[in-house]
Amino acid sequence: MLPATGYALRNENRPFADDPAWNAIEVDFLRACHPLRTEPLLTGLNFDYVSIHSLELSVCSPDAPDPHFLDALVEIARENRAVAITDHLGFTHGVAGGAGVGHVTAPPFTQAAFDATCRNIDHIQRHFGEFLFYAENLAHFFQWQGTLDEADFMIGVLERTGCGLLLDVTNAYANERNFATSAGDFIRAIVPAASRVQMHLAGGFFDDQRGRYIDSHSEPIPAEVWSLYEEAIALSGPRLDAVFIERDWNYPTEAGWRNEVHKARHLLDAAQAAAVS
Amino acid sequence: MCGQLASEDYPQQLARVSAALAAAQTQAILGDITPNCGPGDVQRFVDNAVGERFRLISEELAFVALAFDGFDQLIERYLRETPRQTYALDQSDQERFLGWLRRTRVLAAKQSDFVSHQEAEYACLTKARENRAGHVAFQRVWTLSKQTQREQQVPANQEMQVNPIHIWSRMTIADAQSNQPSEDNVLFLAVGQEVRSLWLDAERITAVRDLTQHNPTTLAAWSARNRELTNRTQLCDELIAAGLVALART
Repeated sequence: MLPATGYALRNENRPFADDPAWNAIEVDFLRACHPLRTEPLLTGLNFDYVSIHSLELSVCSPDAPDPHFLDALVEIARENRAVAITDHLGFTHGVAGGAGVGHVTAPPFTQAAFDATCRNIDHIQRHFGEFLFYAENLAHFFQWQGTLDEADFMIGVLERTGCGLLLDVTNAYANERNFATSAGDFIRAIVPAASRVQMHLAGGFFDDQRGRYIDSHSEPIPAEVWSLYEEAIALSGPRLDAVFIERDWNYPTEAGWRNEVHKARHLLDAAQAAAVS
Repeated sequence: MCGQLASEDYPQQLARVSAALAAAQTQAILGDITPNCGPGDVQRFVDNAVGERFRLISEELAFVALAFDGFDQLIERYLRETPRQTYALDQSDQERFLGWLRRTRVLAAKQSDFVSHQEAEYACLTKARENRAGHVAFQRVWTLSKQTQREQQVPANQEMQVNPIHIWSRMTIADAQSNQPSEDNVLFLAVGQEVRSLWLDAERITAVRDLTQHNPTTLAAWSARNRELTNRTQLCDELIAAGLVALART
């Protein structure tokens, strides 16, 4: 059955969750953990693959994540019968309980950051137990000076911790548009290092005034991202577990929701067929 | 991150840049970023992060905003003065904003009531978070109670349970009704996935307080302790309908 395809769950796409091409779901942690919930967020829906997505683990912070936060993630994962928990390879704060930067951002790619990140992911994976953890590559607003290449940093983390990779294809594409780092080279470098792979696909727009591609999750997935996706499927092979499309604004019509997940499914099926023949 | 002290270690680096970004001090980190990025990129990051905080506070506290002039400006000032907290599952940015309002402003009675109303809702959420099992169990029993209630009058010896997720709060606007201005006079409670409020007169406040203090109890025992209360059975029915009381399963 795997790899599975689907969406990050939003109220706007929930009515189309019966689509046959949609057999995986990504649940945003904060949406699922409302304290007054009396039943799991996914009640009434059936999926082959459920993944919980978090924004605040801050895996690249110097200190390990808050154990209560980890417990809450595990509770939500159990409640929704998830098999995986994901977060970004970045930080939201420097000091636990201290000032938050407000948006998860990649760390400076240095040896010290690498060591802290691996230590935290080891800790997270021990805490999560049966739930697989996947780390996601980020789209950068800006980049810190560092001593390591981003791809080398990620390869090292994936190899040393054994965690999965949540390859956000659009984030890699955005970094190429904004900082001239080849998305194809980045994907070809990191995917082979991953034990398991999930993918994110989304669409943004180019802001002419700022001269930057904005990964806004508000537009259809661009052709360049679909091409990168096809390449990433081939590189992942049987290690690919699930593909999720993210859409947070400017929601499409029903046909729009259905068409993109069908295209993601179709490209996967075609790649599998090609691999068999 | 070569822009600062060579002796700075990783925790110091992240603490410094996090503090700068949280305070929107974009200039403070320009020495830390690569040459292919500029102040505009850092500003975009800050705008994005602050904008999201603003949106969440503004949307969730739209009710509170009704009692204030220049509410948006107050949010902006709060955001400038107060960095976002991480791992704050127990207290959202919105709740912290209400605390900041109380600390930094002299609130008029109406404003204070609106803030209290919202704070009571958050207090219910906190209570539910701390007692998830109690919340879920009560809601199940209560759902069945409504069915029982439709079919028959509450039996005198039927055990009655009080919703564990409730909070008393004080609204000055309700003082005229309660005639007990020094006491909490409005009850907030979780009903399903929402928080509702019960505005009660003084007589009923006493009866409901008795109910919560002697939980669980029976209609007969409760009636015996509140003989002066008129229409006890009717009030019991009302409290079941409101979601405060459930009939225990037998």
